[in-house]
Amino acid sequence: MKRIPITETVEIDLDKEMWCCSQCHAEIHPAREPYVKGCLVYERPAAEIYGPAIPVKSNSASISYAPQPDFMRVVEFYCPECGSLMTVQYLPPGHPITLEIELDIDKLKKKHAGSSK
Amino acid sequence: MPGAIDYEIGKRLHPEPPTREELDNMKDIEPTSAGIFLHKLHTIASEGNETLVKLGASTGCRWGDTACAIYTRSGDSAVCASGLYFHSVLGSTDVKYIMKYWLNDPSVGVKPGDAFFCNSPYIRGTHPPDMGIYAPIFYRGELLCWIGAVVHTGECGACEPGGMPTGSRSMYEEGLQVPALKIAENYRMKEDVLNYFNHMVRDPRALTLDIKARMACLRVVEKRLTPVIEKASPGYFTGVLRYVIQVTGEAARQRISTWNDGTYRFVQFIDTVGILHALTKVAVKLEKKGDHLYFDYDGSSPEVSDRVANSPGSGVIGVNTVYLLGHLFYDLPHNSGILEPMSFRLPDGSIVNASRESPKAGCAYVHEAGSLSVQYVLQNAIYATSPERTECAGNRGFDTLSYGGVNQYGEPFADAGAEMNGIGFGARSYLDGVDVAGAYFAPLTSEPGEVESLESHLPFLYLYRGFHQDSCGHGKYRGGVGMDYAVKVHAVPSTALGTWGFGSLITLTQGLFGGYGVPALPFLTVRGSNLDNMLSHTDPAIPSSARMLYQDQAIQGHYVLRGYPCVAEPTREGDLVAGGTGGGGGYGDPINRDPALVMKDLQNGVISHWAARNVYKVVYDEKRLAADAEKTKALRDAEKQDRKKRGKKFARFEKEWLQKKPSDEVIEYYGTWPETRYESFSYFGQWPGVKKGDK
Repeated sequence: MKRIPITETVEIDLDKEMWCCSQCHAEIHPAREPYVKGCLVYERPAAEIYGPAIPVKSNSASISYAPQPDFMRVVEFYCPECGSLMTVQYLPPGHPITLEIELDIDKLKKKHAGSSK
Repeated sequence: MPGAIDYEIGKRLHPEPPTREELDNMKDIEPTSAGIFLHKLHTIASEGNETLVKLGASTGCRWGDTACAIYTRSGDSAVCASGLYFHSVLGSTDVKYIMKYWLNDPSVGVKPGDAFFCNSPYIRGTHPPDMGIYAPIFYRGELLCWIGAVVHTGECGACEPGGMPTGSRSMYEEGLQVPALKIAENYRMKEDVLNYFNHMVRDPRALTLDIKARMACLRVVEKRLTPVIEKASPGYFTGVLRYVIQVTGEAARQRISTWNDGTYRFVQFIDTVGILHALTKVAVKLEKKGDHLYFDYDGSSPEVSDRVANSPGSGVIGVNTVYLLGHLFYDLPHNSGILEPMSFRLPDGSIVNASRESPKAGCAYVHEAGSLSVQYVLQNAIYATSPERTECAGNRGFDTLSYGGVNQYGEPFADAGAEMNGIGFGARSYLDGVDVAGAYFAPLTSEPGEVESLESHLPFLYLYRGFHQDSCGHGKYRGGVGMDYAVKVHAVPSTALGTWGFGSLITLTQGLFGGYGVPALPFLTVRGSNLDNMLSHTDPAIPSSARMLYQDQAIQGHYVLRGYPCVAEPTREGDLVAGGTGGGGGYGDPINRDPALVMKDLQNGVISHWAARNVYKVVYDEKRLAADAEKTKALRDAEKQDRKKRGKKFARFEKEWLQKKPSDEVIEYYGTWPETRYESFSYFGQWPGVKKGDK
């Protein structure tokens, strides 16, 4: 069976029942579980993506394009092999990680049965 | 009981079962001829919609937030013109209400030449400014179908001007709310009803003109439809209306069956509860089984009984048709049939399925969060088979002005700003999103309006409007950017000015597959500014963009950060308000973006040098805007290595992460942390193991 692309960044090797990275094809995690569990995870300071806050000259306020940290954090998921950014989740601090995709692997195998590598 | 408050009517969004007569009339339909006939019907609806836009006066009507639809006799939306599909589909419930309560009521009845005004949040699922008028179409005494004209008229007599009061504490502070009232009889407007409406609102001129625009739309459609029905036969006409709904459902089912079965999840947060900044959540779990989609909203935040934070369930479902019909299934006919292969489970007493009396003015916030969640679970489901249809969301926050007062001609005015129609759309799997594309809810027809036209009837002077730099989600393909704007109060001593929308404290619209979400959106007022003086001698320091205003702060005055939303407050002549709409989500890892595209974005001013260097990791010559391929590759390789160093294994990260929690103030209205579970649900469409009427 060939590798089946699931998103831009992950694919499934149906023979091995493994999630793989679409960039480097490294095996990441068993396919019957969400692939995010096989990623390296990092809480990225939002200002590194949205830029530093701009202080207001006339008072103590500042203008910010970054989410407020008490409301939302940026969580990045990387391929453990090549460091590709596979998905980004925006969550309040401590909110459970979203298990984005859980596929019915048996049905997927049935669907692709007979297709060559 | 006739005219009862009907909690069930909103659940009838899905197509009704075909009647025996409709089934008989469908027997001889040949697809090609039916397609040609449907094109004719769509052209008629489009002419109606054009009439509506040309004649209306409110922001929503003038700039394309409109819908004109043809409904079956039983009320299912069959043909819709414009991009505002949810108004067309939600209109079904208005028509079904009329059919249930007034058709056979001797004191009301339904006759040729009648028209019914409807804007009840609990029936049509949206806020009171969304007003529809519906007219029956008879042929030789027989009721064949309904036609509808729906527009957001931005003033309805609520406790704040502009129709969407941030500070409302119950439905009774949200102005005019009419379940279904006969506004025309025998082709004449009922002046007593119109007079009553006009005494309820701040801007009777816009309300009247919008109502008359709807009536003109309906009369144009009726005039065009009648000879078409006569020529084709009434039976063929009603058969085709049912046929197109069924064909749409079947085609959607067929496409859904090609996607991978599985479970897909997404959570979206809202950073405002009325006037307070606090978190709520919309959670969506999609179970895709065979050719059917099951959307479950369990885990969403509980209803907030006395703050603007809630929506009726029908609106939460109906608004998905904007994405479904406008994007994912754009090539199918646009009607209620799209819902046929989809079912929804909404927890009772939650923000996505609130009770009747809580404020609904902010229902659009919940709609936007819900439709984002639905769009994102679907992206994960469709990529494997339809990567070309994969698309990040455009900004959903509205992020616009709300205002009211007396204009420069001494006339009352109140509305919401056309800026809401200037969002950026999401990146696609092969292309950047469209910059300043329109409104998410009317992607094909809306526009942010011409500044000169807006200045001609509002006491505003626009300092600038343009691409809102870096407002997109960055990615291999970036989202389209939104629009920045600054408005000075002009030629009146004072006016009430506030904002509507959300997303000043969070990333509202997220990215996809490694792409980033959009930034938080600042909004500020400069009180007591010296802008008039600067304008009087064409001071070169006058800002021409939000970035310039924020970074240089060349305008003197008191800078007050207000954000989205903020209650309209007196704003004096010369004061400046400045903000911007958000862009669309980014697609894919930003360090995979072609450096040449990054240079082009810099040239066009849509991204900053800061983003080019720090997010896209491009090394380039700033003067010539020429990327250095070798150094860029080295920098990007180093970033990948750095990610591997800083990233933690999932289990270790999760253990530390779950120790964190927002402050109690931030999650005061959130519900049980981290997830609220419910025992009672409302079902829209069939659900496994649940019989009709079960809770």
